[in-house]
Amino acid sequence: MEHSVTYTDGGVAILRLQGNLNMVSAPAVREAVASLVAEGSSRVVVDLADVPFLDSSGLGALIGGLKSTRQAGGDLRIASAGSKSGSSSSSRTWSGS
Amino acid sequence: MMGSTALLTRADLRRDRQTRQREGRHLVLVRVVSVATLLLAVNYLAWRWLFSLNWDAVWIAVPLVLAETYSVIDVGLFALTMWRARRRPEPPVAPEGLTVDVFVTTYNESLELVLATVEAAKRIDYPHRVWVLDDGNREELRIAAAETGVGYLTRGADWDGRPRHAKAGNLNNAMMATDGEFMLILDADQVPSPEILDRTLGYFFDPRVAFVQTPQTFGNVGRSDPLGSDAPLFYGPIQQGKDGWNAAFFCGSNAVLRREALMQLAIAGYVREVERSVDKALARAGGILRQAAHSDTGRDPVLSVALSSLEGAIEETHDALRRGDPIGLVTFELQQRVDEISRDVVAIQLHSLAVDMQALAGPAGDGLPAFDYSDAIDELSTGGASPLAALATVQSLVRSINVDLSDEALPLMPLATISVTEDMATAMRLHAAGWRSVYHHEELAVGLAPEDLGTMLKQRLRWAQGTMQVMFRENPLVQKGLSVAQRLMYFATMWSYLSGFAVLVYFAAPVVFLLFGILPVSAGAVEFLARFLPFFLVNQLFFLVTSRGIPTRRGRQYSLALFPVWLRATVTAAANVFFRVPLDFVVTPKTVQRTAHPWRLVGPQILVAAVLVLASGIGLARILLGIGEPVGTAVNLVWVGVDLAALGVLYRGLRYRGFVPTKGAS
Repeated sequence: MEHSVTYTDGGVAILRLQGNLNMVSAPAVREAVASLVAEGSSRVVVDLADVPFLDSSGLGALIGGLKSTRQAGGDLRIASAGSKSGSSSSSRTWSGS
Repeated sequence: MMGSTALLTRADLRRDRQTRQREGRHLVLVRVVSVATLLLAVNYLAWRWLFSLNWDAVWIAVPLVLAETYSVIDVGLFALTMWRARRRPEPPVAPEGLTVDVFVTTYNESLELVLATVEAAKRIDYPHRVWVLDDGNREELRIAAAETGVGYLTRGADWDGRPRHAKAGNLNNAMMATDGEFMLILDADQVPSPEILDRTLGYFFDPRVAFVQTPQTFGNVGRSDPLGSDAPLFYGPIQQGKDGWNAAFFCGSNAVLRREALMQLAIAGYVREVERSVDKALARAGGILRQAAHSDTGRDPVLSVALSSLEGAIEETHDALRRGDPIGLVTFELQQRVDEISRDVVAIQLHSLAVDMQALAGPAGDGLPAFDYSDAIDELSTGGASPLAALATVQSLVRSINVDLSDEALPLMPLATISVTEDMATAMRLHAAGWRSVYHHEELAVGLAPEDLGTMLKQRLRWAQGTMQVMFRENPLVQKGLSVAQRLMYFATMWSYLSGFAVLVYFAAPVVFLLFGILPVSAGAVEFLARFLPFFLVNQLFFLVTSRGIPTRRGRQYSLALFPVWLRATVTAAANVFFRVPLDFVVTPKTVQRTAHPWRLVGPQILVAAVLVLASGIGLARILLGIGEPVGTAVNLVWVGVDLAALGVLYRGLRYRGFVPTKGAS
């Protein structure tokens, strides 16, 4: 998978991903977010517009990214999420019970 | 993709058919004998409860009948396990092109041992990558791993000051750094054979299969097995029986797991954890606000308004969550609202304070220095200095909601961390999530068993404690998603660890009779034997049929002789789960251990044996004096003999000085 980084005027890093976000590409995504945080950009938007498929490892990488940005005092938000999960039995809605 | 269209030869097919037929016939036999056992068990137990309780000695009669009920339930659970126990036919051929990580987990084992396993892991035929998961963080192991060309993983700085979760944490940490579709887990001493992956990966052709467990056997155990290390009944009929109900146990090593299954578990677990932390914080905040409103005298209108707007904010949050709004956003907004309210209150109070002070200062007030209170506001509204205790508490509760689970090193925990036996807890969650499992009965790795009684006792205690932790934390009987049979398969293992209590009663009953002539059973010896013996004998036959020639004597001796271990495990696990007492709270100081005689390891058992022998002597003396009852005494002496024979296994265990390969069986 490929990724590119751009910055908004407000200093938010936009991480654009291309390709499937799965167990193969998950470590690279986690790494990419970690290096953004290390460089001081703890407010990150992950753009999933060009990600056709996301598995639980990919979801895991996003949660890992959320943790590292939050711990650095920032946040991680997702753009263009849509519906990408496969036949995941864990696709519970992310809502209160 | 996964086209396992390998051709089976005619001979393969014939052998397969023969296996199925033989297994089918055996299963019929098992079922017939198990039904007979259960009928006779009920016949005996009903008679015991209804017609033979000695009401004059309730204090021993009731404990005994309860212990017997425990044992009959144990037999029932075993019968259920065996109901569908069968050997699987040849495994499907492993498809090409799967990616596999082989994890060798180590903490403090010798370098030599770890590297021997690593070398064997490298020689596994199916393409794979090998990783050493070193929880001991040893520089020399890092270098050695690099030299042999395998990966080396250790915990990062994220884990500093956070719970490490032992082996589960080690594996979770490695999962985040690797990307294979499947992973083979090997304890440091488990030397795999080259075909281990070829023989197990084929099962994953079924996309619902989450893991394949293979047996754990030991290369340093002779035929006499003085420490009872071999578990041929468990890694055999019992696992095959659980497998029959799709409830094979994952046992921590010698197993292949599907990454996707574990990751789904981790995501679901993360969502559950976050929801739980939010629910808890909101509920507690609501409770505090209700209390505060109740005790609010209305003397401070600012406080009253603040409390009610806080209540409103919490109510809105509940509504938003019920609507399905994202937790991250909703809680973020709540945090902002609460901070805002809190700042307003403090600002108003400081303002009125300043006004008061100006009034006090009178006309000369313009001499007062300008008071910049913005810093003070921040300090008061964040710290505990605020007089508005309720407001402050609510604020800190709402702040404690964190969707990044910051008190854990990893937000995602694929392997369960609720127990020191992470394997059992993880498998149960996988089964509850609808995944399938396989027990593959073929020796594909050979490990090392403990070679002294002390180490063995510690290991057994750990296993028992872990199992009991799971029982208390996530009782299988009430887990949604598990079938009734799956619940009972997990419960059966936990139930068997409760045996310590029953064993105590089984020791006490003959002692009471031999010393005082008090019988807990109010029936003649003939009547008792007529009820008991058929059950006992058919039950022995049941064991014989199900074990299929496997030696089970050693295991049964130890399950009786280790009763203090099971008792201690149950008590410490309960204290740990319900009162947060550390599991190893009761530790013998190291200095004492060093000077202590090894006999101390089995002090309670020695005491019991002494009491049994003494009671036997007194029982015989009572016969000679003409006050004893001969048939009852004979029955109880046989009973004592059986107990002593089981306890005697510890003597062999204590005398054991380690494995001597040249001699083989001693």
